[in-house]
Amino acid sequence: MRRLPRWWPTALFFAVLTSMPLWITDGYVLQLIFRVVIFAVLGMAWNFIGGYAGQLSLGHVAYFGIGAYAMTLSTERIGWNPWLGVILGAVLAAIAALVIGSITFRLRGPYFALSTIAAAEIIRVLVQNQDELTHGAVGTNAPLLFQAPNLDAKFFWGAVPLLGAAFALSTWIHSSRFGYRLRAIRENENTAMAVGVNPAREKLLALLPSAAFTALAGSMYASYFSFVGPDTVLTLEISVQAALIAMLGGAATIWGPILGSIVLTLTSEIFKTYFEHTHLVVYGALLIVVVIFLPGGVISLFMRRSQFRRQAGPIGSVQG
Amino acid sequence: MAFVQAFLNGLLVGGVYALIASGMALIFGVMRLVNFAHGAFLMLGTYLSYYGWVLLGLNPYFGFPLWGAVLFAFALGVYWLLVRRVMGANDFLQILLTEGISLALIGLAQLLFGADYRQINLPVANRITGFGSLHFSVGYILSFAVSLLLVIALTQFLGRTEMGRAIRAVAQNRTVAPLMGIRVERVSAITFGLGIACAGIAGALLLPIFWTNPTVGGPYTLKSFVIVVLGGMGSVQGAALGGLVLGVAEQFTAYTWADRYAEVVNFIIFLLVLLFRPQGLFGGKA
Amino acid sequence: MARILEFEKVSKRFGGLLATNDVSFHVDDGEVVFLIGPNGAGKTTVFNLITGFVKPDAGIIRFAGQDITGGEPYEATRLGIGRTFQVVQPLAALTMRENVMLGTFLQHPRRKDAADRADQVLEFMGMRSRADQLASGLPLAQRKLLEVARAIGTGAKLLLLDEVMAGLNPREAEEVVGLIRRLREFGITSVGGVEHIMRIVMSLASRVVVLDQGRKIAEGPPAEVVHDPKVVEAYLGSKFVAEAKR
Repeated sequence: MRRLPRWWPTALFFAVLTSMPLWITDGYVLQLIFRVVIFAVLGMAWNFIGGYAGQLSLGHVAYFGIGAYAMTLSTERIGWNPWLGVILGAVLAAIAALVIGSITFRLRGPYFALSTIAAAEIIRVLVQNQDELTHGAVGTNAPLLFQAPNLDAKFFWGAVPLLGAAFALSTWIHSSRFGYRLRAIRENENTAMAVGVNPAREKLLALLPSAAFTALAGSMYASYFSFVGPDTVLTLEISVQAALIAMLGGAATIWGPILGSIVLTLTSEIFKTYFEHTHLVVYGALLIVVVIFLPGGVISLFMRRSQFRRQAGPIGSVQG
Repeated sequence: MAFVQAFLNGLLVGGVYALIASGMALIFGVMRLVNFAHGAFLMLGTYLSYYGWVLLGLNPYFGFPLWGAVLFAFALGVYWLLVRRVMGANDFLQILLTEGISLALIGLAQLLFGADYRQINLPVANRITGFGSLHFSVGYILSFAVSLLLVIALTQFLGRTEMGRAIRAVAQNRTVAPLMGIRVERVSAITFGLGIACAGIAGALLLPIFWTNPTVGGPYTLKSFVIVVLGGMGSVQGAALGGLVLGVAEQFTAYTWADRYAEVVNFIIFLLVLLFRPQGLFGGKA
Repeated sequence: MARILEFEKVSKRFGGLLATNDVSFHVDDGEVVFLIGPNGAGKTTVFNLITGFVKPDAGIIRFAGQDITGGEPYEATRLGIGRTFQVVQPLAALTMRENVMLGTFLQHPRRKDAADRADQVLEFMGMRSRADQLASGLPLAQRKLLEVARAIGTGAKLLLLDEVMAGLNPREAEEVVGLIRRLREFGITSVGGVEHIMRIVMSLASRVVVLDQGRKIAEGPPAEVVHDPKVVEAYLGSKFVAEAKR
C-alpha cells in the first residue's frame, strides 16, 4: 500500500492557492484572498517573536510601515526600481528591529508590550510630521510592483511565494534547536539561561526575520493598494491584527497564522458587507472569544487535546 | 511669561490626567491587571457627559457623579462577565482581553454615536479668566478642581475606610489577604469599578474643554500607563503627581518644540523612565 | 587532583545585607561537596554567584582553572556547570523529553540527536515512560527529577543541586541519592549541593562547608563538622552548645 508523503497537505494547499487566479474570475474574491495571504504572512512573521519566543509585541506595524515607505520613497526620490525598494524596506526593518529590540527587550511582560506600542507610535508621529520627506499625514501613491494587465493575478503570484517563504522558515524554526530555545525563553527565562541560552541574543535573532517579513508584507500591501499613509500602514490596529491573527489561529504553530488570517479576514469582510463599520467590534469580540474560550487558537479545534498541547502555544501555560 | 503660562496650563490639564492615572494605578496595584481598555471607558464617560448635556441639559460639572456611578456599575458587570476570568492568568491573556474590550467598546460607540467629532458649548467653560498677563479658561480650572478633589477623596477613601484598607491589603499581598478575612474577588470587582469610574469621570470633565469621538480614548490609555510608570507602579499618590508632571511636560513640549510633537513626548518619557528609573520618579522598589 | 571549582574570598551585598561575606572554598574533581547551614545563611546565593545569576562584589570564581567571575549564567552552563533551582522552574508547556532536550541541545545541535540523548538521560533517571507528558502536569518529585535530568543533559561536569531533596518522601529521596552516586555515568564528576536533610548529606558528601549568616564557619568531612561547637551553635543556639559540653 503506497503511503502519501507527509507533506502532501502542504503541497496541495499551495498548489490550489497558486492556481486560484486561473479559475477565480471575480476580482473582488481574488483581492480578498490576496489580503488573506498578506495577513497570513504578517501573522507568521509575528509568530516568530510573539508565538515561539512569547514576546507580545504590539508594535509590529513599525516594520510594516517601514517596508511600505522605503519602497515608495526610494522609488520616488532616488528613482529606484520598486523591487529594490522592497528589499531596502526589509533591510531597514531589520536594522530598526535591532534598535527597537535592544531597547524594548530589556523589559518584561506588559512593559515590553507597551514599549513596543510606544516605539511604533514614535515612528508614526515622526512620519506624520515630516511632511517634506514623507508627505506627512496625507500620504502618497505607492509604486506598482507589476505592470498591467492582470494586476490582480500578478500581485497574487507575488504574495504566494512570500507566504511560501514564511511557511518554510516557520517550519524550520518549529523543529529546530533555535525554535526550542525560543520556547524556553517564553516559558521561563531563568531556566533558559540555565540551559545555556542567551535570551537577549535569541530574541533579537527571532525579531530580525520577523521584522523583515513584516516589511515585505507591508511593501506588497501598499503597492497593491497603490497608497501609503500613516493612517493605512502605521496604525496600532495593524499591530493588533498581527498578534490577533497568530493567536486566533494558534500561536507557536505553523498553520495557526494561516487559519487565523482566513478566519479574521473573512469574518471582518462578511461583517463589513452586511453591517458597515463593525470591524472593530468584530476584532474586539474575536479577541474576547479567543481569550476566554479558545486560548489555544482555532487550530486547537483541529487537533486532539494531547497533540495540540505538545505544539505549545504561549497561552498553553495559562498560569502567569 | 509664556513659560509660566505653559507651566500652569500643564498643571491644569495634569490634574485631569492625575485622575485618569489614579484609576489605572488602582487597577494595576490591586489587581495587577494591565487595563488596555482604560481609555475606552474614558471615552464612554465623555459620551455620557455629552448626551447628558444635549438631551437632559445636565451640566457635566454637576452630572459627573451620576456618570461615575453609571460607569462603576457597568464596570462591575464587565468585571463579573469577563475580567475575572483572566485574573491570575498571564499578561498575554490580560492584555488581549482588555484590548478586545477596548476595541469592542470603540466599535459600539462608532455604531451608536457615529464616528464624528462632538463638542459641547458650555458657556461657563468657555469664559476666560486670569491675572496679569496670564489667561486661563474657566473650564480648565473647573475640570482641574473637580479632578483634584476626587483624587484627594480617593486617597482618603483608601486611607480611612474599611474597604479602602481592604483594597490596600490586597494590593500589598494578594495571597495573604484572604487569610485576614478579606474577600479578594469582591475587592477586585470594586477596585475595577472605582478605577473605571475615575476614567469615566475624567472623560466627563474633559468634554467641556476638548471634544470627543469614539477613538479619543487610545492616547489616554497610553498616557495613563506612562503616568503610572512615572509615578511608581500602583501608587495612587505617585500617579497623581505623575499626572501633573506629564501635563507640564506636554505643554512645555508644545511650547518649545511644536504642538504636534506633544504626543510623542509621552512615549519618550515612557521609554526613558522604564529604561533608567523603572521604579518611577516617586516610587520605592522597582 | 584538579580543582574543578575555586570560590575565593567572594562577597556579595544586597542593599544593607551582606549575603556572602568573604567566603572561600573549593571543590576538587570527583568530590561531592555540600553547603549546609541554617536558613538565610546564604547558600543559594553562593550557587547564584557561581552560575552568574548574581554578580559578586569582590572575590574570584574559577571553574576548571578558568576565571568565570561575573559571567553570565548561559556562559557558566556552556562551560560545564549544571544547576537546579530550589523552586523548580520547568518549561511547563513542553514535554519531559523536550525539557531535557533544551539541555541536550547544547551538545547535540540536531533535533534527532538531542532527542535520543534526552531519552538516555530520562532512562537513567527512570522517567523514560513519561517522556511525552507535559511538564506542567507532573507532581513535585517528578518535576524535581526533571530539573536534574535537564541539568545532566547539558553535559555538565559539575552539577549544583539546590535543595533537590526538599519535598520528596524518603523513598523518592533514596532514589535520588542512588542517582547522584551514579552521575559519573553521565560525565558528571563533581557535585555541589545545598541541603538541609542531614541524613542525605552524611551519606553522600565527601566534604561539607558550613555557612552561617554569609560567612563560612566550618569545613571538613561531615562526621567531624556536625560535632563542631560553632556549627551546633549556629543551628541550635549557644544554649545547646553548653548542653552538649556537659
